[in-house]
Amino acid sequence: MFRQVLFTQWKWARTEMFAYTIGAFLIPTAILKIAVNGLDDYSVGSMLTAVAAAGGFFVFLAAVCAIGFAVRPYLADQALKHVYALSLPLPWATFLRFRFMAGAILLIAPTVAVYMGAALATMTAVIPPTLHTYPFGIAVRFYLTALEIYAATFLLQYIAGKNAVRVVLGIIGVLVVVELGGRILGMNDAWVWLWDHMTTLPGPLETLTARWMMIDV
Amino acid sequence: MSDAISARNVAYRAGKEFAIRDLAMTVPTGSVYGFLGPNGSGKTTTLRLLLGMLPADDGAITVLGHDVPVGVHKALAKIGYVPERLHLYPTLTVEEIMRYHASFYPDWDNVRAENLRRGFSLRAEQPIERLSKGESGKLMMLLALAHNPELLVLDEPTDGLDPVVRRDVLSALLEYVSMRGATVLISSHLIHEQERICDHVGVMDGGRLVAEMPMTTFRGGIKRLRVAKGPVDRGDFPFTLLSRGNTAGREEEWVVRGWQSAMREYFQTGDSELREVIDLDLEESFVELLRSARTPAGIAAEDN
Repeated sequence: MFRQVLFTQWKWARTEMFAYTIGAFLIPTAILKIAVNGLDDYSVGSMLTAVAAAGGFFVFLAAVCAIGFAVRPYLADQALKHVYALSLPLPWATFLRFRFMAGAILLIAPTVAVYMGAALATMTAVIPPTLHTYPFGIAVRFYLTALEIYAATFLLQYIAGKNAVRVVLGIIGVLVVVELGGRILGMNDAWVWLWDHMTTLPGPLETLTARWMMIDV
Repeated sequence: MSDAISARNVAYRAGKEFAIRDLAMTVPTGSVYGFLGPNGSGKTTTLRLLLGMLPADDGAITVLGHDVPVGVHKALAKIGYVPERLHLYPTLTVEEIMRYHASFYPDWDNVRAENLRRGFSLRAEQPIERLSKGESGKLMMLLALAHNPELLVLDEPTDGLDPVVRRDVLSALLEYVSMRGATVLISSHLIHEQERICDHVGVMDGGRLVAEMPMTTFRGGIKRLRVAKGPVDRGDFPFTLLSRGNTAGREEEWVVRGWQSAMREYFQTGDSELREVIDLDLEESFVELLRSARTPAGIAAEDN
């Protein structure tokens, strides 16, 4: 059952998946080229700054992969008004779990490409001896980031009706609590506080704003 | 024997314009139940409610002994469903959709599926998006029949098909039903087609099930009467008066339901005279039933 769901999702996304995988393989090399070429000398600080600045490419690619893999099967079901999916003899929640897991598995291909590209790029680049390479770490971060964006996109697509209202009300509720809590506690910067907590560990958005370092001390 | 489908007091509202109201429907096990109704009467919505694809606002539905929607996925494993429109992923091939579909059904019969595919002249490697309307209809029937379903729910399965394809699809259906003794709930506009294959009939109009009865009762029970000097309606007719209108002279034309020949005696009292009793075919019966259901008096009569 799951194998067939995985097969169909692979078939729908295989062209994009090929493009994502090539992109994922080439990005680490491109980043290192930019980092090294842009420098007048091989100073450690300059190189790290350049690598960190180019890290946004990974976030961008992770988002493209994640949204691509999440949207494809949804559009396929939506085009049929979900009639086929709903007529299958399994609970809707199980079907959605299969859909989700299949996409999570497809994300492995660009992740492996990121690892291989990063490993190859760091092996072939001239790196100051005080620095270390982290191809595996960058690949894991890439996968987790993609998975997080994929999960959010997946959830937003499939929630409907009363569930959508609940999610929107939940988000509004959190914002209201932050605003009111900030006023009660005399905090003028409650929104800044919320943003900081979302984007620093263990906040869920930390992975988007953190430094994506293929090379670090 | 229990009923294959039972719905009680089911209500469903879709926007402001359309609603299913007080739906009470019984499909006996082993029957071929024809589901008639004009466009927009609520047939497809009702079928989707019965299969748990839409959540009923009120009422109780049981399909093959399972409550809907709680246990609907257990029932769906024993149901073959053909929807109104092609509902299959267009980029998959015939072979791929057969494999995909089979993986969800424990009773999928590969040999039967392959025989049906050959019998329907469907090429395994043909993408679904390139199938003709007739081929799509055949493929959906194949998928509905290949897992040995106890119940077939068919929503306009032959609509838009040419006569040859229609015959192929109906033959496959009837062959399966006679072999397996399966229950069939078939919605169609093609009344004469229903007349040939159905033994029960339900008529939907404006979101209400306005009649439900064995086909023999439906076919034989609605008559057109030519009556001279028709008696005043005192509410004691032994039949259900669906409509009453004047023709030439003093003769009236009545359309009645539940007619039996012994009821002739009713017209022998007073001045009235029953001149002729005319059999209606299923299509005429259907039209007369709908006409009566659309008048307040008619609906009241049906409710009683």
